[in-house]
Amino acid sequence: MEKVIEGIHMNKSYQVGKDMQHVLKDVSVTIYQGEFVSVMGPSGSGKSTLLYALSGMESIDNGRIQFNQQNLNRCNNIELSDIRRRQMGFVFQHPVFLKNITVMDNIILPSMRDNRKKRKQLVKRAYRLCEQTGIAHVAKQMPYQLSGGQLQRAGICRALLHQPIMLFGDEPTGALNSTAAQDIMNYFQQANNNGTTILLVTHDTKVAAQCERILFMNDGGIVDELQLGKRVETDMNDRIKKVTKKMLEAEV
Amino acid sequence: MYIRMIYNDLRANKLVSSAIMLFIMIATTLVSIVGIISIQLIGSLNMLMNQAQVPDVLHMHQGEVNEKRMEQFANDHENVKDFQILDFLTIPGAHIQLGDTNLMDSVQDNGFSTQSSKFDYLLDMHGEPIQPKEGELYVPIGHMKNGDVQVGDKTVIAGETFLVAGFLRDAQMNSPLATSKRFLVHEEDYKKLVPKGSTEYLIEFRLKDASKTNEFETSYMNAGLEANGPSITKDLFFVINGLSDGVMIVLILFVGCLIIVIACMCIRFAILTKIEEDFREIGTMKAIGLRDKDIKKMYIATYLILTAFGCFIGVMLSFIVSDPLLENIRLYMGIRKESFAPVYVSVAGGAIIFLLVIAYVYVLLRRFKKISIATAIHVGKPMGKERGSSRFSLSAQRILPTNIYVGLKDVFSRKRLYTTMLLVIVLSSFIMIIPWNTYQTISSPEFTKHIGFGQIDVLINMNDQNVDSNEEEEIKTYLENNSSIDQFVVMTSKSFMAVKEDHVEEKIIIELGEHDAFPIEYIEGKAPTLQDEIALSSMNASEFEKNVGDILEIVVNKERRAFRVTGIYSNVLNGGKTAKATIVAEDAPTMWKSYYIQVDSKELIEKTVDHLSSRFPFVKVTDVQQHKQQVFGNTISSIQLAAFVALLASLLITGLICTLFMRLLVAKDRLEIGILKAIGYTNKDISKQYATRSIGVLIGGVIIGSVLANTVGEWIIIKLFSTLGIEGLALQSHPYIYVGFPVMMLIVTLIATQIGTNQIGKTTITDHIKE
Repeated sequence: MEKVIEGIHMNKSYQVGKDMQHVLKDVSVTIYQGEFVSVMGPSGSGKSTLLYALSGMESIDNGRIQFNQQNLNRCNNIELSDIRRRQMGFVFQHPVFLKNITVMDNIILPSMRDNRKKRKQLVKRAYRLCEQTGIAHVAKQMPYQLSGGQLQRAGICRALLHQPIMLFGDEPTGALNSTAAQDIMNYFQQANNNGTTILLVTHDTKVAAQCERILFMNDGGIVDELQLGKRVETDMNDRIKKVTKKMLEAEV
Repeated sequence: MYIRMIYNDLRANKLVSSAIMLFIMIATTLVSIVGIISIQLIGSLNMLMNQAQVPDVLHMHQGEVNEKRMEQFANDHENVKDFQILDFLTIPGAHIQLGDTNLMDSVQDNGFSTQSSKFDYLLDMHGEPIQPKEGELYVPIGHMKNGDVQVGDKTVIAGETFLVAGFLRDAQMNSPLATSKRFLVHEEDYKKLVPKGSTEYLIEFRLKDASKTNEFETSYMNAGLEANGPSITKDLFFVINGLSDGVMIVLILFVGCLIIVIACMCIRFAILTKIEEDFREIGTMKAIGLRDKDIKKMYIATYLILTAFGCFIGVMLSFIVSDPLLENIRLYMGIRKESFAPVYVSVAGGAIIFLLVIAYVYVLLRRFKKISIATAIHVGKPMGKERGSSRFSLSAQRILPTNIYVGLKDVFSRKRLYTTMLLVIVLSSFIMIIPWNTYQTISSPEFTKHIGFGQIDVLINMNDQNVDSNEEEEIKTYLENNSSIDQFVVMTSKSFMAVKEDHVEEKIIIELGEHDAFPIEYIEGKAPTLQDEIALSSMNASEFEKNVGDILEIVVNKERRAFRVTGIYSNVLNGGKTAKATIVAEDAPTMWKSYYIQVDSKELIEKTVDHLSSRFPFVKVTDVQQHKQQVFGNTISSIQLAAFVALLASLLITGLICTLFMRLLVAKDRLEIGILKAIGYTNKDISKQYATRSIGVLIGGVIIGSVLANTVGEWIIIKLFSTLGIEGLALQSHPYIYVGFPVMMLIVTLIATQIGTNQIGKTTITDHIKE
């Protein structure tokens, strides 16, 4: 299988007061074309930092990140912005939108940066995505008029509009109830079925259970990995819980 | 704990804190200066009034006064403490030569007096009544300020030579706004001057009870006593003397208030941004049981320090800065040095600003009450503030590039937020354009038409008393035979008496000659052509209450003759009071004669002026453009200086506010900036969006400011000029003003935006969006 993104011996530290906090400790990870991978782990384990490092939003102290045959460490800010805008998509826990433009404008905003002349096609495609995610009726409204679930779906539309190679999700269901969360996962699943590679960070075992592969992180490193495949197994939840428990016991 | 908090807060917001402190400091300086000048002005005015023993009531009268009747009235009236009649000998300005300065163009009635024996003294620089010796002349203090003459200079008054022995303070006529000025001479010299001028009488009363001035005035009028001139009370002297400094005080106070408003706007923006930044922390503090008052203390502490420091420096500065501004008071009235009042007033000014600012911060922090703990902790930002319209959407528009669209849309969606910056730019444009348009107008060659000249290049003025008929003939012959002179005409200015609406006769100077040789522009009507026609300057038209077509009676050859007013024109010669007619009046005294000359080419003007001056040293030869410089030179250079200061101040304020505003805006919008970066917008893209915001506001502000400057501003300037006798003025501009200045503001705004938004590059995406 073709590698989409590969992090090799990644290290990242933060200055916290007078101390240095080592958040990523020599982490190496590879995500392949078409995979749907989730990262789990306790708070402070470094899973979000891993996600932002792999997407080029957070610089690493040393190591290497290879994305779609480009070395992200060697890219300058402008090149990184271009890559994020053209080849990556992001969904955040709390969907943030520009307050003073409509939901539709927010969705097309990243793509309009490069494709102003294709405005009509973009709007058409955005409407199709809105219809698929059930928010077409609110697309012309302002962000403050939408519910949390609707906003998160708008966030997915924004992330998918330019057909990214890779979609990143940082706790995308974290702020939603279980029904809304499942809806969101269905859209992710749909995107993955259409060929988009997905990496998401989650606390929720139910969410993780719907992925192909789970990476377990603790104390700045990947400590375990669970390959689930494409099948959705009924006892998957229990299996993940067992791994999580084992991981925590090992730490104690 | 508080000290560390304040230190961290100030360190984190160096630029914003310094700007707020700077504004508070300037505002305090100005308000304290207002206090200092006001207290000094009142003190000095009272001192001057007491030293000079100003009368409570003054009646001016031209013509005979029945002294016995007047004395009888004064003796009989229970409220009269003292009474006197002083002579005031008016001599035409053209006959007063102070050093190199001739008072022909003086706006004032210049008169001569002797020292009073009872009250209304003319004072020296120490506040003592002056007793001049024979041959000595004491000159009104205004001439010292203008540098017209110096102690020891020789002066010629209507052919009599005097030595300037000093300058005098006149509690009645000190002010440049008073229409008359008194020169002081010895009694013997006065007698020599009497035949050369016209005597007016100053009928003066001191009252036992000054609060009953109105009752006294009524009984004076009822007694039918002489008073065909103005009647002035002590209160009015007080006002006239204090007016020019009063106007300055009002202006400084206005600017001070404006700066307080700007400072408050900055504080408001800074506090609201800080509250938004700390929203979750504030909610948490409330959740763990801290009272609003306790939380307020933490926020107010920083502003207490900033304001206290700003006010302290402001008060200190006010002592230094107020000194040169007291020059006028020091010169015209004198200053009592031992008084501590200015110190108290200055400190009080600082205290007022301090209390105002802190009260405003308290009001702003009342918002803590409205913060819901649940919202603060869960959402982390204020709810329900988002606004914006779905009209003119990005998906529907095809003209604007995306970055420009995002920037402009933000300006229109958050109008209130941008109001501060807009107001500052409107104000900056206004104060930038007005002085420059005024300067442009007054310095343009066309401005001479408002001074009362036609298209003439050289002017020869000669005082009839200094030039005999042979010399006059010599000039005429020379002008006729000189090839470089294209055309010339001689104009004779004679003095007549004209009848006012209330049948009182008043002096009027009429220019006689061929008025169509060098036609001037009339505001209304046309030049006089017939023997019974007259044209009046706008000041004379209002003085005699005449419009075009009205009849004005003038005494010609001892008979009252009716003249029809054919035109009104703008003019500043002879203090703006002139007239034009074509009558022949041999008996009327000639004041001066003028030759209006047009030369063949403009290059010859200077040469012709030099030539005429050396050939005829007994006359005054003037380059008309230079004459304008003489009349308006000081005003032009003051306006030019004011224009430069206004330009710099405007650019500075625009730059400072823009930097500050952008810095605060970036802090406020950091989440949106984070998300824009996350979805692939570069730092340059985001900077472009912010530049669009500032340029958008700049364009709006400059347009509003220019419209205001051309309507309200122009109206104010035209009104000011009309007080000088210049009517029908339209302000002129220059492409630099409407193109160059906005470009300068644009450059300043772009630099300021660049400085203000340099944090965009430093903002890491994950700081704000990573959970």
